[in-house]
Amino acid sequence: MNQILWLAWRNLFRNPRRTLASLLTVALGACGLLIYQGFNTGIMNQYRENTIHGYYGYGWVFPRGYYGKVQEKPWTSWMSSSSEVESQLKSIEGVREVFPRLRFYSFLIKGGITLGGKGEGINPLRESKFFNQMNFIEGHEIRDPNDIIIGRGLAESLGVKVGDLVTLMTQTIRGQLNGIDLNVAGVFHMGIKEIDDQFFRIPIQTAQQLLDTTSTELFSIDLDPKVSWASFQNHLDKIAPTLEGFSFNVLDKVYYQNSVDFLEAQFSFIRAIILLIIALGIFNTIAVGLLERAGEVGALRANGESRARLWKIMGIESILIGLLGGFLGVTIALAINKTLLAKGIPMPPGPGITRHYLILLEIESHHMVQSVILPMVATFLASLWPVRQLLKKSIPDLLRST
Amino acid sequence: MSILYRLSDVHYSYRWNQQLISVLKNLNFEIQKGCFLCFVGPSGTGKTTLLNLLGLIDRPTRGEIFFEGQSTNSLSENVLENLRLKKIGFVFQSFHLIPTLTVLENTSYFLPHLGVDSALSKKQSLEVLDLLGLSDQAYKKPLELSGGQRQRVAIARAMAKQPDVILADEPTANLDQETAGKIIEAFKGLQRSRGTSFIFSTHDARLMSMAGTVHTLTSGELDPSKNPQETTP
Repeated sequence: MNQILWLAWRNLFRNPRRTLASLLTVALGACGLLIYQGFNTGIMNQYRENTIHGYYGYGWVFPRGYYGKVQEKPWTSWMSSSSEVESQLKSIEGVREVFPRLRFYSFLIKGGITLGGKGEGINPLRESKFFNQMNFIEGHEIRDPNDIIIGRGLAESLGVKVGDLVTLMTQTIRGQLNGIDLNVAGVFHMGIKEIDDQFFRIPIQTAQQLLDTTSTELFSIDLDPKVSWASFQNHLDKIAPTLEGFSFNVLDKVYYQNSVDFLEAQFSFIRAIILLIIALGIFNTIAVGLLERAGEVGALRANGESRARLWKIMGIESILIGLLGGFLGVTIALAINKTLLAKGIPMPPGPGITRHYLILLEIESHHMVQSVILPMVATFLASLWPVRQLLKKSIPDLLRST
Repeated sequence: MSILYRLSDVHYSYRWNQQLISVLKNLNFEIQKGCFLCFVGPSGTGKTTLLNLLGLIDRPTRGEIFFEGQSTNSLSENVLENLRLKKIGFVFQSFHLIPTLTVLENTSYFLPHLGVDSALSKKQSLEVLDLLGLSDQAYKKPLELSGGQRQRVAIARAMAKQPDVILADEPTANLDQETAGKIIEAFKGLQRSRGTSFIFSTHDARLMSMAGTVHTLTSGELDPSKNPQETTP
């Protein structure tokens, strides 16, 4: 085997220009593959960050059987003993913070304009530390029990600005009308159009007062990224079987999970095209190189060299070209990432997103391995047909080829 | 002397544009071990095809070739490969050396395949190169050598395996007279020192004059009026 490897290695220097052309073909493919994969991961991670740190956290915990069902009287399922649930959740390994929330519908009245909106009672002190993807166009976070912050689209429709008074009008859980005047502290956008056009936020105590309840509808969870949601869910099932959790990708299936699935499918397709380009690009070079060796192969076979050994030598040659080209491509991609693309790639807003992105290539070690292995396999496969064509020739035919 | 080859009613033909082209016909003869034999004849009379058959790289379309008493017709490709590796050395007019390997590496190419360890392989190869006057070129690449030197490397590669027979297809055709003379001397030397059989196809009068036996091929047949010519080299 050592001799085969050594012969294959030496054959790479047979025609240095041709070998260099092959290496560059593979390297450019590997480089493109890695950059595109890094870019794709960058987008997916941006989506992920936006989803987690914009609104959802790592997931939400509801009373069991509550999420995904139409509730006639949702407050009957809400968690009345909020502090006890909070303690249970915080006792689970990996939970760094919990964010109680209470969602409700309400009319917002400003002057002669009345609009329906989706309200959320939150703990502003806790949330402002974690939900850092919320951008304030004007104003600031909630600092006072009488503050309200409003999504950009909703604020524009109402025609409110920071410092204005807005009246909320809704029903309590007992069916009575209740209202409250709140001061607009800030106008935000989270980058998610659906939220920015409909949402407003007030302190959870104010929301509970407005709805005449002391309950909490859900807890958003900040989880240590090293702890999986499945592990959290297992613990939750054990210590609080009346609760159930849903990770952010389930909660935001429309924007996050669908986007990720779409990007992955797109990447798979483009990866296949890149590999095909590598294979086609290198096929001709390999075929020409092998054709020139027909006489030499004929002479070796006439002297007793076996087809199997020649298969191995030529196969290893193409694997070496693929491997070296792959390493070269990964090196080029890393260099490009550290220089030309170090500041990221500015991107327009994605579907359902209202913000521009700056995508940084996120190259992970398994991407690098993949960017070496896949072009190597493509190179090897591209060599199979020309090698087979050469080696299936009879020895006299090989000798006549020169 | 024992028999190296026996040809029994050997024919060789192929189809071209739906026509059957007959290359060799009615070949019935024997070749002794330790021979120094030439096949001569005009171009297109089947000399190369006959060498291919003797070298077990092609099969007759009719008849039978016995190599060291064994019929080769029914042997599998693997067995033929093994026979070629161990018993036959083939030298071609166009050398067909591996350009990326040195002279020494080309010479010792088949030895690891024959189970020879690297130290012995080097020793054996250097001995052959020395015999062919190439020991000072051992670490050069083929492209750094003259045509005659390259031909000697091709012979050295075939010789290093220590085969029973070396087949050479017009080995001196591309060489100047002086170089051709040296190569013929080298062949004779190896025949004497190791008892290796040599079978050539050639147009080279000097090579013919050195051969122990000359077979003349005419239109794919041994010319009965001229065969075999025993010479006194």
